[in-house]
Amino acid sequence: MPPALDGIDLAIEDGELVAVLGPSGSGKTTLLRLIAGFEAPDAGTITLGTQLVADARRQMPPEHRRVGVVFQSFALWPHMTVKRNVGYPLEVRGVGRAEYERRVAAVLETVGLTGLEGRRPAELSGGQRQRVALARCLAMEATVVCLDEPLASLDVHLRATLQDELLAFHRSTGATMLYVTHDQAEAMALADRVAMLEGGRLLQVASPAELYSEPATPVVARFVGRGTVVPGRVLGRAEDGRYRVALLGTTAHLRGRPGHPAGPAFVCLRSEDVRPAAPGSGAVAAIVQRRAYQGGQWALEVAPVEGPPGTRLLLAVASEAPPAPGQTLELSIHDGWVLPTP
Amino acid sequence: MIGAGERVVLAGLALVIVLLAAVPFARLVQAGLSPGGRADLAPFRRILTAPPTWRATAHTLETGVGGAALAALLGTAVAVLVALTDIRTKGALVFAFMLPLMIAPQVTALAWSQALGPQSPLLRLLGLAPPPGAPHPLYSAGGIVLLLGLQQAPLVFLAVRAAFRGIPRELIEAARAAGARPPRVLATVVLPLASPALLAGTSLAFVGAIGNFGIPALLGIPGRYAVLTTLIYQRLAGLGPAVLAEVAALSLLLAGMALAGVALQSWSAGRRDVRVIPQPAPPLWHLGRKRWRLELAAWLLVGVLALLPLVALLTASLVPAPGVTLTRANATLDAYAFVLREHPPTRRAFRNSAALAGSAAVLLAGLAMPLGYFLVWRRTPGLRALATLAELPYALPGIVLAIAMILVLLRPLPLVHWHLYNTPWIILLAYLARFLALALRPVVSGYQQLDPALEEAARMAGAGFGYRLRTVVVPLLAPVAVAGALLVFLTAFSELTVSALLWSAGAETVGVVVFSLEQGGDSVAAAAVAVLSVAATIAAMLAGSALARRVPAGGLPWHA
Repeated sequence: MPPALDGIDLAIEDGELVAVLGPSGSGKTTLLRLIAGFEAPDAGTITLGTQLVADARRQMPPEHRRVGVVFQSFALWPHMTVKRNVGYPLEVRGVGRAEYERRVAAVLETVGLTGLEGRRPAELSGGQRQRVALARCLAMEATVVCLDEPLASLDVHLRATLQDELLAFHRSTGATMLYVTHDQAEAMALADRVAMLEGGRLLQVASPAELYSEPATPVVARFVGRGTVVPGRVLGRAEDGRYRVALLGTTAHLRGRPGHPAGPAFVCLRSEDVRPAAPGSGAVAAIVQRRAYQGGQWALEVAPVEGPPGTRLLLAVASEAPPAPGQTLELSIHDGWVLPTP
Repeated sequence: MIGAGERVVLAGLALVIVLLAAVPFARLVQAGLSPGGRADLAPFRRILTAPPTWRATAHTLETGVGGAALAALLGTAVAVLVALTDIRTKGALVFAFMLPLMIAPQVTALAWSQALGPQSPLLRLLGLAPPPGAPHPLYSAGGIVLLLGLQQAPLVFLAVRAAFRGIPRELIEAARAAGARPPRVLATVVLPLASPALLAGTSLAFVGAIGNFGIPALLGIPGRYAVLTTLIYQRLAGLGPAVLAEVAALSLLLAGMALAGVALQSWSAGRRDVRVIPQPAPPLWHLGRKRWRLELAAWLLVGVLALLPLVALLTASLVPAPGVTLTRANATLDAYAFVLREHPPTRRAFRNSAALAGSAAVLLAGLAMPLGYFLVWRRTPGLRALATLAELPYALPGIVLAIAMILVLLRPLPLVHWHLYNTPWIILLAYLARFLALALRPVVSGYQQLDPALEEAARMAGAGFGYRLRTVVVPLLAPVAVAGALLVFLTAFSELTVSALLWSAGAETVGVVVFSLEQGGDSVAAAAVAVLSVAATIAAMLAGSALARRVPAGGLPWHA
């Protein structure tokens, strides 16, 4: 059986919000559980601050790591009130009564739940429950807060509200946060940096902008922002600092890593990189495969005439008189990214 | 990743299970196959080839298979009624149908022999009694098969009903959409899908039937119809510890048959997907205007099977002397006064049974909680094997366990020199071994329905093992632990099979008192004690039903 995680080398700075992004089965929950202490590594080390907390031989148990976890189900104890749920880490440590009351009150105010101390989790809304789970991590003064797909089971509108709350929480507390998710839009919206996982391997760790515009591998290019990957040939550098690249029967000036050698390469194209061109001046001829109305514009999926069979490009056109399936369209490519050679 | 404190608890649990489950049976195997210290199969072979053994084995198989078949028929019929139709009063029907399972087998036998015997006060009241001097119709193989079937039918019912509930609704709806009417859906879709569960339940009924002591003792001994359990009892009760080797060999034979049944049950239970949590589904069969006829038939059936015997028992306890017809004029509570005020063994027995059953219930609930934790949430390897070991004393016949316990505790314990044989302690230890599996099952199913993240969150917050158990696990699982304890108490309070061989003067149990009163001829007093024990059982069942909302489905078997 292939390992659940392989060759992970990741450093998270103090106060950063790092999103761990990947499809199901990519190992992102395993990574979170390793950091929290619920799984043990077979090789390698995990260090929190200056302290080595896990290696192949010995692991510090979760009770001692001070890593806060917001579970997917929130894991609020149903037989305890909000106050006892939040104050549980303090209760465990035997904090005195006055100090306990003070800290719980302060934490509840930070997350905006003052007045709800006596309620049970069953009486709270989804957003309130998330805040209780966060407050619990705050109360234990966790060094890092790990969130395991906390918004996965919520509806779209609630998700947007809670994302804002998470960002506000991050800003006001400056907590280091590790956010595991399969939703790339969520990762891009929340994170300072995104670590992209697939099949247990780390594909790229970069800021959302860099991940989007400069993906490191075809998998990243396709997963983030629905990019298409097409084969091409790098001919050399152009005057504007970009690379001259031959693809799909035309030439274009595309971005790439410094020092990219000439020769065959793959190119990542996004829908904003491709535009309809005036007939005759266009560089790429393509046949429209299907179109879908998206409110204010049409999303087109086109098959270039030149280029490997099965290649599809995506682009958006304005609502008036969009081309119908089967029609030929002329396109120009004015931006794109040359994927680094492995 | 197990901390030091957890390791100690785990080791303790393993030690307790090994001592309770493995040591007695190991000793039994040793005594049967190598009596006198050396491996010597000659005595074993001699006993196996003796004619009484063969006869008893044949009778055991006969009644076991017959009883299991009857149980399968009855249990499936009632399961179809309850799970697939829309008859009313299901709750009460299930409660009444489950009564024979919760009531001690010998009480059932006593009740039925009163109901159908030539001296039955009830039949005399109705004018249906057979002539005096006629052989009792139940004192025969047929009677034993009938009562074993009745006793075990609830087991099959539970298994089959769970299977019915687990069938995805779409499969049934697809058949109806294709034009099939309910009887055809039942025959072509529902029953085939439920057949592994039916086979599993029937195997369990077989194992229960061959291990039963109370019914063949009451009905078979008078008619000289011996099965293995009564043969073992008569040998030991008649000749004492001198025949332990021979009795051990007989027990091994019985255990072997039971293990075959358990293996069949495991195999057939493993053939279906048990991950689906059975949910009550809307009824398949809407009975329409003829419904009341089926309801009447159902209540008639359940009434005859469960309630008639209890009524017979009651009337038998109110007559002034055995064999007298009950009339309003001569109904008397003298028997009750006798057993409660003038018969010291009965008072002692109630005290002993309450203490033994109560202690066993509390101790086993306390054991089941951490055991269930390691089994379900930590999935410690090797613990599954231990859990299967813990099932043995419950799956195998009680008589076998009693013999094993005698073998282990006959001589004083090493080091501490405690004499536990002929004291109540040997009975308590036997109860702990036998009913551990009973206490464990609802607890395990409770853990399976809880979110493991609840405990991980407590670890994350810094709580150690003991603190987590106390503040998170125990409060959440208290209802299921209580359900398990209640089941143990109910079963242990009036049981006979185990205490028949382990009791001693001063350490009588309720089951033993009923048995000896009946064997001694005082059937009125026996009936009185039996009625009192049934009353206690029903009271406890009702108390349990009050809890039922907090217990996950299936925790309390008599709750619909």
